[in-house]
Parts: sequence; C-alpha cells; structure tokens
Amino acid sequence: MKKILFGVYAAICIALLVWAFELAVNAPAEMMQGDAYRIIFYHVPSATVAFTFFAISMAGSIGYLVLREKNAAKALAWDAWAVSGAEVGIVFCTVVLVTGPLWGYRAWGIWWAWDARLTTTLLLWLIYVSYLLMRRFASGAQMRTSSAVLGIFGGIGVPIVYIANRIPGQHPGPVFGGDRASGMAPEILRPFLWNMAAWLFWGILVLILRHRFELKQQAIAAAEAEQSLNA
Amino acid sequence: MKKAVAQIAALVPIALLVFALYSLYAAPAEPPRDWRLHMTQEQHDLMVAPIDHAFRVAAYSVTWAIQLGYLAWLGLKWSGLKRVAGRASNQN
Amino acid sequence: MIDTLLTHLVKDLRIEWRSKEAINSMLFFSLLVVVLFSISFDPRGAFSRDIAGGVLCVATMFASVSALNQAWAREIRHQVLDAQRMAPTGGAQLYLAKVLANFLFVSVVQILLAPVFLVFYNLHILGNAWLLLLVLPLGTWALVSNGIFFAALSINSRNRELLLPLILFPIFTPALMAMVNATTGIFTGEFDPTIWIKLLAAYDIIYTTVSLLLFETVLRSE
Repeated sequence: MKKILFGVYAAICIALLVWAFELAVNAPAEMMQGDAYRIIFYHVPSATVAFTFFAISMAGSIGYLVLREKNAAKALAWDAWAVSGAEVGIVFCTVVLVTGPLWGYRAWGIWWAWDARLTTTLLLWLIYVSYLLMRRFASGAQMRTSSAVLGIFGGIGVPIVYIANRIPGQHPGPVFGGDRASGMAPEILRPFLWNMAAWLFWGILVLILRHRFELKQQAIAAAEAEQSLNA
Repeated sequence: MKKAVAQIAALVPIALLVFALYSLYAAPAEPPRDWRLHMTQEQHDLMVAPIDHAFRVAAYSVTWAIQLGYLAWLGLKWSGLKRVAGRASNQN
Repeated sequence: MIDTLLTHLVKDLRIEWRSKEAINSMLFFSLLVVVLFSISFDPRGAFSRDIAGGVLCVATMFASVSALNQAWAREIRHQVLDAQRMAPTGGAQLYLAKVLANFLFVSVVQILLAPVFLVFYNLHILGNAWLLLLVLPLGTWALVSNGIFFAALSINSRNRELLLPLILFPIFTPALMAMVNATTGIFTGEFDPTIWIKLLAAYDIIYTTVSLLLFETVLRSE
C-alpha cells in the first residue's frame, strides 16, 4: 500500500516538474533582463528548498539532543531527519551555487561576488558539508551527539553571516516585499509559483527516499548489534 | 536487467554534465566590448540570444545532472545495504 | 564555582609553563605564516595596509589550530578526561578554564608577533590604533572559544587533527570577516570599524553562551 502511494506521489512530482518546465519555457520575456530572468524558475525554488531542509536538519539535531536520554528510539528518528535534511539540502544548495554563477556571468559579467546572499549560501554549504564529514569521521554513539551539536552551531551561524554581509551588493534585491518597484507581473508569477511547487514536491520526494534509507541503515545497525550481543 | 538499469542510472547524470559543458564550450563568441560602435541594440540582442540560450541549457542540464547523480548514488548505497542485510539474515 | 574554575585554569597554566609546547609551536608557526604571506603577496606601500589585517587574522587562525589540537590531548592521556567526567563539578568550568588559558597563550603569541608584523609590512597605522586592543582580544576569544569546543567535539573521531579545522573554519568565518574588516579599517583609516567590532562582540557573546550550555552534553556524550 505504502509503495503504491509513494509511486503515485513520484508520478505527481514528475508530472508537476514537466508542467512547470513547460510554463517556464513559455513564459514571456522580461523587460529588463530579456530571457535571462528565467533563472528564477529553478534557482530560487532550489534555494528555498535547500534552506527549508537545512532548517529541518537543525530541528532534527535539537530533537535528537532533547530526546536522546528519555526515548532513544524517537531520538534516532529525529537524528534520521537531521542527516537527511542536511544531505538533501546540500544537493539543492549545490544546484544553487552552480546555476547562480552561470546566470551571473551573463547578467553581471562576473562569475561571483562576495555579497550577503552569495557568501551566506556558500558558508551554509560549507557548514553542512563539515557536518557530514563529522558524521563520517566520528564513531559510535558520540557521533550522533557531536554532529547534533555541530548542526545547532551551524544553524545559529547562518543569520550572523547574513547580517555581517548586509550591504547592498550584486545579488538582485528582494522581489517580494521589497520597495515599490518590486513584485512580480502575473504572467511570470503563475509559472514561478508552479515551479516553486514542483521543486518543493521533488525535494520532499528525495528527502523521503533519503530518510527511508537512513532508517534502514539504523535498523541494520541495531540488528547487527543485537546479533553480536546474542552470539 | 537490474545491472542495466543501474548502469543507465549512473550514466545519465554524467551524460547530462558532459552535455552541459559542451553547451558552454560550443556557445558562440561574445560580441566585442565596443559593440556600440559597430551595431545597433537589436543586432546585439540577436547576437547575444544564442549565448544566453546555451548558458540556460547548461544550467538546466547541470541541475538535473546533480539531482539524478545524487539519486543514482543513493540507489547504489541502497543496493549495497540490501546485500549487507541479506548476509546478516543468512547468518541467523 | 570560581574555585573550580581557578583550579582548572592554574593547572593548565602550570602545565604550559613547564613544557611551553603550545606557545613555542604557535609562535614559530605564525612567524612562518607571516613570512610565507609576505613572499606570496608583495607587501609594498599602501597595498600592504589593505592586506595586513587579513594576514594577521589568518596567521592567528592557523597558529591557534596547532595549539587547539593538543588542548585536549593532555586530558586524554592517562584517562584524565574520565576523571574529569566523574568529578562532581560542572563541565562549564572546565571549558571556560581551558578557553581562558588558551586565550592567554594566543594573546602572548600575538603580542610577541606584533613588532615582527609591523616591521615586515612597514605598517603605519592610519586609523585609531588603540581599537586594536579591543579587536584582537575579541577575535582571539571567538577563535579560542569555538576552537576548544570543537576540539572537544572531535576527540572521539578517527582523524582528530584533520577534523578540527574542517569543522571550525566554516563556523568561525563570520568572526573572521568581522576581525579582518575591523583591523583593515583600523590600519587603513578608510572606514569606521565600529559596526564590525559590535558584530564581533555579538558573535562572542552568542557562541560563548551556547558553548557553555552545550559543553556538558559534549563532555558526557559517551
């Protein structure tokens, strides 16, 4: 039953992505940037998904630390969300960091700039990669505790970096909630929202897969531990 | 059958990446810096459009190369887990 | 509470006084880094002032890592750390004492290195030089407090010495930015470093608080 539901969800995701791509390709050209603005159809949703999943990872880390002495099984479940959120977040963050310069080179003439959002995004990527490295190098039960603590540190660091860099720079200003000149034309808003939904659905699909994998890994480790106890 | 699927799953992201790099490499040359002396805005836009298109194609290809590459890697690890679990339950 | 803190602190200072391993290695390493940077980036004229701040901060950073790596090594030898865990005192005092001791060591190295630095870069400080006495301690505190905490995190990992810089540098980057910008502002006198000093102070307060709260968890995570 679960597998069928998951298959249906996967099919919906793919259908959404195809529909969103269709809308993105056929959206009208923009006044200022011509066709180059189309990056918002995959770059902005990927960034949103990445940041959301990093937040999920931080919540998982906090949950693990709070629950690990009271309810070990539940704590492991939170830890599974922590590592899944981190890993899938890194995948989407990589997409953001690679597609951004590809757009930036055509739009601004430079591949990179050290302003608020770019630096924050790069640092976020570095912090969560170091989180994964910590999990790989550490061993035993301390690994989960240490990496949960590191996850919390990383999560706090991000707003600090963002504030440190908040000088008007190269990256386009906020489109929503910015000044009078911001806001999106309806012909572009509709494809944008569909793309946002499509990438979010896809991200959740990958997150669920990674989470299932982690649970399976935990189960095998627990079975092996029990086996060695009973041997 | 399974091996074929696995091989395709591994090759598609690599192919997408190569395609993206090729798209960037094969993009036409940019107009010179002093293009305003030689051509109108419309001519410049016509010259620049295929370059923008090449970059856009590269961006989409790279996006899917990363996404599918990650899924392929996850799939590989998953099948590795299945083997470990199979061995463990055989020992019981 | 203060007694415990002082006991830990005096212990660390005494060990360092007898062996001087941390200070010697840090001093030589930071000297090497300053020389290497001078060779790589030609430190002539006004340009030297622009990069001197960055070089000073990065030299301090690399030098501290060599000290931080051995900060907990002393405790692991002869199961001293297990004894610490069994002691009825809190982990926070142990952490704070280690941070204070290492803060002292790194500051000593910075003071000894400052004249060398002024000479190699022919520095005329154009801004308010007294602010350096505020910026450098704040930056060093950020480095040492985070470094000691992460060194404790990585105690039980396979590649302890390799892991520490990998997890420390990304988290330390905001403080590095603030420190470099503040020192550049002081050296060049071109802009007001106040906002960066405020940011550095805020970073110190936030991270020291979180470290104090979470250190108990890390110490007893086994």
